[in-house]
Amino acid sequence: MISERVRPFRLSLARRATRRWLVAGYWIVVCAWLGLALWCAWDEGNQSHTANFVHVLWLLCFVPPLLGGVKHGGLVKPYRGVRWASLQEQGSVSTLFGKSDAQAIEDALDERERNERDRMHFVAYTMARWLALAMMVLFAGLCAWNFAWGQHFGVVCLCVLALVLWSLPQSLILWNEPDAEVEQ
Amino acid sequence: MRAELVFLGRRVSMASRRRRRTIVVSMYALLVALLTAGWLMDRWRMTGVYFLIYGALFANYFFLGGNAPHGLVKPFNGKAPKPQAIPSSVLELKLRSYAAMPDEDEKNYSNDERELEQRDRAHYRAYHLLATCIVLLWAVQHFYLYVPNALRVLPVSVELLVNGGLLICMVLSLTLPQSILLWSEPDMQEEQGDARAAKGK
Repeated sequence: MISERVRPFRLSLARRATRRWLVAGYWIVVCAWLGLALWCAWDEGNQSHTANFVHVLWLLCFVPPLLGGVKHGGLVKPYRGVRWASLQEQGSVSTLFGKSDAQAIEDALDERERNERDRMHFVAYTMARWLALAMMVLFAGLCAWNFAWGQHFGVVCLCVLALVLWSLPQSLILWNEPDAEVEQ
Repeated sequence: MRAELVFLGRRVSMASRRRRRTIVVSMYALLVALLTAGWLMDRWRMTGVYFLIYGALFANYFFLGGNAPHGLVKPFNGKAPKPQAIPSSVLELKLRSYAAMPDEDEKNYSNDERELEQRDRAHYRAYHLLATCIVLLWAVQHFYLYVPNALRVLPVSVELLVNGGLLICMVLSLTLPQSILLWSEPDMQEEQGDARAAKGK
């Protein structure tokens, strides 16, 4: 399930402890960035929705693919394999619009990995549903207390939910997958 | 998945996939009707929650299961229902929708390995659809903040659009995995027949 070609900061992903540190770092960075976006949105005098939009768009477009899964090239293998047409007969050469056969074979999930992927999505689904429920209650409470704050919080809620939905299964996979050495 | 549904005191066979698909289509048709009624009444301000969310919970409880001990799909968490000799609510008593006898057979609520795989696969499919919907809603909302005038061509306000989209997402999050399971599971008689044929050989 973990890609063997990607080595962030030249770290091997074979050990679970390393992966857990990376996941923790990822979420710390995301939370810091979101805090910044929230602060921009909260400052009503600033009216810097453009900066807020760009910040969060950057987060959504570029940060979740670092973990992989939804996209090729991350820490987790692509969930659906590589679907581009093969352009190269040999070697592991990536081209702009295609991947080589060797890469496609390496990235294809076997049955155990597919089951693991599905199980983690079930766990993530359950967690995200509880998170959405908690946010809905908070949103309703804030709207009843101060409508303007509630509106701001609503925007942030959607953003947080989108980020969590795009990152949670990959984080769970990286967190739970056992050490590769132990398996061997 | 269970092969029969107890509703209004009657046991209805749901072994055929066609019947299960009919239930899924009818349920979503009813939810769309409620959505339309809510829009006409108060633009989903109050009816959105009361009609749609309670409608989805009702469908879960009586027909779909998964998140509830009753219904066609076994509980996703595999936990046994609490012992309930007498129906706890008047509604259950009146509708006679409760289990006719205490459910002591583990296979009626516990998922085997194949069912767990199907449960996880259904959640995987539902997850990606919902995640895409949420990102689209977020994009619409943020685009509206960025360029408020650009979306004035829409016949409804953006707040209502996002509110409706979120309501639909919530309903889907409650019902979609079960619906995928009910829709895709093959006829049960055929499976049993195949098993018998395999044993005969």
